[in-house]
Amino acid sequence: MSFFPVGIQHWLLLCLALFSFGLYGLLTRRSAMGLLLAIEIMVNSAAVLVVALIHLLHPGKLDGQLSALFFIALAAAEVVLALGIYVPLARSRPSGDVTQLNDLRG
Amino acid sequence: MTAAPEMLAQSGRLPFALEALWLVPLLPLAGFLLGGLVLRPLKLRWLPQVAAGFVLASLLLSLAAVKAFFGLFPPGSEHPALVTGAIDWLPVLPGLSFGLGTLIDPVSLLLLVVVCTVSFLVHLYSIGYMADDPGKARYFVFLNLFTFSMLGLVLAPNLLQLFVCWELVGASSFLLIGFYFDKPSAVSASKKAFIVTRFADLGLLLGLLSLAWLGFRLLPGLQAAGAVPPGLEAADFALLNHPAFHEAVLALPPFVGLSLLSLPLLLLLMGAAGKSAMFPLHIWLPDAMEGPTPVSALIHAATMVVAGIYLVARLFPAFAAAVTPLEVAAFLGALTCLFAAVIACSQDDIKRVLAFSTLSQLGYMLLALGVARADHALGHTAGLFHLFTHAFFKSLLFLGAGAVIHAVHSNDIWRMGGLRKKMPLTHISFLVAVLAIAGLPPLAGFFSKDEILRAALEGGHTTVYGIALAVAALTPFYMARIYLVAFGGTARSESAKQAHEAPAIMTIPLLLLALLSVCAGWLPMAEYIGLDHGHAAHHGIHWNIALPATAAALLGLALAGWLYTGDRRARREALASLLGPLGGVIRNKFYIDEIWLFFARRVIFRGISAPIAWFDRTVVDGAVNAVGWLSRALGASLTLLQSGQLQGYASWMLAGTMALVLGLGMLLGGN
Amino acid sequence: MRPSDPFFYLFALLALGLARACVCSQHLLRATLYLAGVLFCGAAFYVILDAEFLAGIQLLVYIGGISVLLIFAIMLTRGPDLLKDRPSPLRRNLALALSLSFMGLCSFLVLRTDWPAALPAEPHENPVRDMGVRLLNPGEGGLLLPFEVISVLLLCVAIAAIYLARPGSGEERPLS
Repeated sequence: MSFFPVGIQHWLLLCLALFSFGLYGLLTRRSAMGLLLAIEIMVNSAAVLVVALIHLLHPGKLDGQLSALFFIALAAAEVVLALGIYVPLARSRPSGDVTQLNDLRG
Repeated sequence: MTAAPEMLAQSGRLPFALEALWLVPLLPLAGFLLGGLVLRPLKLRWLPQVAAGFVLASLLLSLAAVKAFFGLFPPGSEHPALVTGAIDWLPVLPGLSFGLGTLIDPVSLLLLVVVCTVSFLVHLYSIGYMADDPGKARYFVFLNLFTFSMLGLVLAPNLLQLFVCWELVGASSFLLIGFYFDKPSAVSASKKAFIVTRFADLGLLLGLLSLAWLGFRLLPGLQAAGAVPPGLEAADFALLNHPAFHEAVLALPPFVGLSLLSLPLLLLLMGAAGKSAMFPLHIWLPDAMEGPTPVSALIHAATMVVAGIYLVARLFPAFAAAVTPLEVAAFLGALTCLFAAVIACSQDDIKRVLAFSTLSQLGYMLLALGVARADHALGHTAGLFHLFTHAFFKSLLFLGAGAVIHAVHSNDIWRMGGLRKKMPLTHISFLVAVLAIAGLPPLAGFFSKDEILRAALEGGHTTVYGIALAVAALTPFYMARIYLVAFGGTARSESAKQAHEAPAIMTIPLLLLALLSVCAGWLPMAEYIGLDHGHAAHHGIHWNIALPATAAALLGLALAGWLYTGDRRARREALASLLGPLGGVIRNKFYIDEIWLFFARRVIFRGISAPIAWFDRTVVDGAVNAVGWLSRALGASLTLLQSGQLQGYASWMLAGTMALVLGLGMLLGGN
Repeated sequence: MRPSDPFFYLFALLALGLARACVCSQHLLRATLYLAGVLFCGAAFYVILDAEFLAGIQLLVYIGGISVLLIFAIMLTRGPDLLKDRPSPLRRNLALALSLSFMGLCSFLVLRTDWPAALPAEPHENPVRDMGVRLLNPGEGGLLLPFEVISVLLLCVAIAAIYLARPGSGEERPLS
């Protein structure tokens, strides 16, 4: 594949790369906030991917944008909820380290 | 007639007593159920009378059946075997089914009469003997169960019914030997009897299975050829005794040097030897005397122990066709009768002497059957004749001993003495029994013993004849010994001084049995039971046999009189020193019990049971434990995955997703 | 080559660099700022993809709302130990292997796939208006139901967040 013109594959690879960065963050971060940041990257890359895919396969169709709207709303809700959990947790625990939050260990 | 021709009953044409013969075993069964389930829980006092009544009904019915049978087929003519009351019981496969029913032929009728008569008289006697026993109800219930099982065994038309009843007999014998279950010796004796006979029954079962298998495989061919009558089943005695069946089996290739007919019959003989307490499986019978004395009289003298003899007699045509098992039987019988007679001379417990005497006489019967052949079947008649007469005088001896024990409260003959005057009726009947078993004319034992000796001599078995003659001298000796010690002389203990005659309910059976012991021998048995009517069937006294036998008996009696009349301690001690260590060996019953014990402890426990136990503990339990340990270990290792670490879960999820994608991609093999 | 293509590469490089910085930065507050940068690049991508309205929403909600919220949360709760988030090498290598293999697998699939050509364009006079119509349209192609579901979800989340963040709710005090 060549660099130009930018096509579906370029967009998909870009989003995949962003997603993989998010994934890397998700697996390495020890602080709950860091995890949240990584997840935001992943959600965002997914939204971009949907929009790009629809736009390039079916220009002018609005479904991609509408899905992205829902993505954004969901991401906002998720962040709010995560912070709602995180803030009291951070208050009651000495640290926000997720590796210490293993109360559900079998 | 070469073998018993078997004929199936055409129902409806036979007299009622033969048609309804199935009632004979079922009446005691009804007594057992009624007594055990209704009367005993209600604690009704007339339970013994009810139990005896059921047996009396069986006795009357079987006497009527005998009359009807020999009315139809007079003595001296051919006697067919009838089967009545047959029902299909176990249809296993097409062509393999087992029925229940009653087999009527002279042999089963003979046993029927013996069992019913002795059982009834023992019931009667027990009413007096067990009057004060708290377990009386249980005793009579078991006695009825035993009578039912024994009658079912005697009337069995096929091997399977015989086997079932055989085991039932063993079970009721177990229950009755262990009747005084608070006595450890009785408990261990009952276990010993059960285990030893069970061990022997293994042979019976194997023999049964092989014969039934042979019958099952050969029956279609035989029926197609028209060689056997229709309607036979695989394990029917009618088939197993049929010459065509023998021919077909003998045509098969032999196995380990034995024909396929001999092998199962030898196995059956093992079962028979266990039940009839033949050497070396005899060890349970002397211990079985722990049961109540009437039980010893009924089960361990007159009826159950002759089941083995009956089995051989029942299958005699098959045994005669195979020959080898008969030779083994003759050897076993001769060995046992000599061996047990020698031991009987040394024992002091009156019941043990009688037990060894029973062993000896059973050996006599088996010996008689063993010397008979297809072309010379006198031994068959003689063995059953002796079974018949022995049942009466031996149960009489036991019942008399029971009366004495009841009076003296001891089994030791040296604690008795002088009972002649104190128990006159018991004394008379006991004396009759002693003379009968000694074989003095004209009492019962004389005739049957004569027949056996004649069968052995005419069959050309000179060694066996010699042994039998020796036993004919030993038997009077030990019987006279216990008679003289127990009844003669003066009382040797306090309780013997205070002994008094038993109540009438006990003495009446004694006198009845004494009468039978006198008369039973007068029956021309060969006319009733004989496989070769044409050959030497005349009844009478054969002087060449009777004279030596009587001389031997008199010799034995004289020796006993010389040693045991009055105070002859010096003579006995002289004789004992003459015997030296051999006397001790005899007194200890040739250490057979100890040898078995050694065998059981060292060989079976250590050689077989211990490895099996080890296998069970390590391999079987080990496998179970290993499964448990494995699942726990697996669970423990899986809990490591359940780490509570968010990112661990995320990693697994991701890896799983990728594995799924890869797997699906490969599976769909796609583009 | 279209005029937007250089911008794609520009913002792609920017976004990747910022994303890498975001997940690798040891300083959480800085990571949050990098995240804002990534989200800004996302808005740029929307513009390139002719979704100007979405770009606006992205800027408003993500950068204006979520990023600020995250920054506030971090500043409110920061523990001294986590300001420096330094994962162990083992953890880093494992995560690298997993994410790289994921990337490889997906790229392989993307490159292998024979993507169809674009369908003819569907002209819109006013895409924002059309989106609004579709969101509130209960009929064919309408998204009223998901719209309402997400509205209820947002309401629930708002209530839940208030409840969770209430002082003392971590100690399971009964509702007063």
